[in-house]
Amino acid sequence: VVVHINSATGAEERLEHISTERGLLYAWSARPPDAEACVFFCGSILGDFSSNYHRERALARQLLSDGIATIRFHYSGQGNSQGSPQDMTLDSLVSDAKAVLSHWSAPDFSNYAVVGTRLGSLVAAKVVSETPWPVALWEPVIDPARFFGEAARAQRMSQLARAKEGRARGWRSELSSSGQVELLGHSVYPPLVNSLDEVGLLELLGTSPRSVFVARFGARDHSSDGLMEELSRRGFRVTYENHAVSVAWWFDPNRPGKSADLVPSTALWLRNALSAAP
Amino acid sequence: MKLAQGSERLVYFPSGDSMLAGILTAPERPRDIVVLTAWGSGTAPSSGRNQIRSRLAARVSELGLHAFRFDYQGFGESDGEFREPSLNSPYTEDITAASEWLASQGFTRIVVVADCFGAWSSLMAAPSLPNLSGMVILNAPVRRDHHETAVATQSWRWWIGRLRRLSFRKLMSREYRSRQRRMIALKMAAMAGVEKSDMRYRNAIEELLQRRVPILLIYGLGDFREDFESELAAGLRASIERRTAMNRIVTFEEHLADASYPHQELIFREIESWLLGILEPAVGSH
Repeated sequence: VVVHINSATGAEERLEHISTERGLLYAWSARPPDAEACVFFCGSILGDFSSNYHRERALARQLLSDGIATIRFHYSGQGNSQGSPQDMTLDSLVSDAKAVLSHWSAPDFSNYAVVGTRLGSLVAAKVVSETPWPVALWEPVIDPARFFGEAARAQRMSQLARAKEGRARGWRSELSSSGQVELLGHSVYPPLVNSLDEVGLLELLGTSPRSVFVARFGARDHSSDGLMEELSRRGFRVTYENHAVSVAWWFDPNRPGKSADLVPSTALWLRNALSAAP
Repeated sequence: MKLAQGSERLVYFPSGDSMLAGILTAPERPRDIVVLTAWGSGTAPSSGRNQIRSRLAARVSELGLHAFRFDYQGFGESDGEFREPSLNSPYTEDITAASEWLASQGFTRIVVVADCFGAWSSLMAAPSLPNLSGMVILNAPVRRDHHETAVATQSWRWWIGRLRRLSFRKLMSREYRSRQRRMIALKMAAMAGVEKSDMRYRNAIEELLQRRVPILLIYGLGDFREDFESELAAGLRASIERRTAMNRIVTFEEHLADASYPHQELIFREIESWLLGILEPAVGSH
């Protein structure tokens, strides 16, 4: 563990390795003096991990300046954490998140909220499903089966732009025959893909009503209408917003993109949700 | 490939008014050299896209070398505000600070392995790195950044589309007008076949050659390749090759920017082979 006090916020920032059966997880946490509430981040994976990292950092820093503690980490097999990407599954992602969260249960914050980005929304949903915690979802992946399909389409477009022949076979059949598939430079393995079959965000969120914030990036579309309607029907308190965020799924931009008012808007919602929590 | 984080040490170190987050990987049987990785201004944390820096750390530790990676100010887990990357304001302060911290830990020989804007920043920082024992320059900008090379090659259809999106609000913005002037100048220069004059890259390499710091230049296909090739043709190749045999130029007919595992492997093999060549005098313990 290495600790320093941020001179601007007065927060105690900690970098540490957390031991799990899949190896050491890399985690960063920051606790402002007298913080009672904590926001826990479940980032995305593969290309989306990098492309959203800077936004998540910005939100964490904003929350710190609002006096709210934050915890961020890298899943096993990704980023600075140990482990193999070949072993990654939805269960392993959830298990990593719970391991990190339980590591911080001792200091006792009175309130928690969780942020999930893209595929990390599924992890966030699973983490909060047994709690009353509010959850903020950035561009949630509602149907995981489409997550890899979108990347495969983006890859074909990228290859065409580089005047290379696009992949002729479907990514799924290549995954079956080769045991892995390269999607925009990222190796994807069967355990992860298989673990996401027949899983949906709605099921993972459970039925206990809670406050949910959903932010969609880019122009307004109707992809979340079904989710919103079903959550409202279940009695969830749902806030939906669209933000003019530069979208770069799976691509690692050369520099952090503009996030418009996504960060302050999410931070405001989290502050209100945490202060309203019982 | 396994990562070597069992022997990784997490650190904070100062750079200006900020504290930067870094990771020092220690090999089992260390030699007195540390590989400092400085990457571009993308959004990935210090692991790099697709864990390229984490994996490189594991690979060089197998050669008996320490490895150090870190987040610039305003990135990842480091403090500070994000600064817009620009060839005129490289992240030299952070690279120098990392080098100074490594020196404070007893390292007397540092090899910098740097990519893209990190490579440009490392070249600009090189005069203030006294313990520099080698530098790997991977896809560094030569005289134009990503945006400038993209603008220069855009078609007229792209420019017309841009004109159609022009609004009164944009026209009233001084920043927007200034950016447009720069873009038009770049397009005109590209059309006229006039290269942007900038000797900083060339001068930085020459300075390394004079200091007898071994260098490995690696370029894949991409937006900086054309500038690099023209610099080689203008005398840089001859200048590099008449110096020590430890200097090497490697080009690949692949886009390496996606950092896929096969592309990482291409890069790692070149770096390992080059490192082995400069390692021999450095056997010793840290």
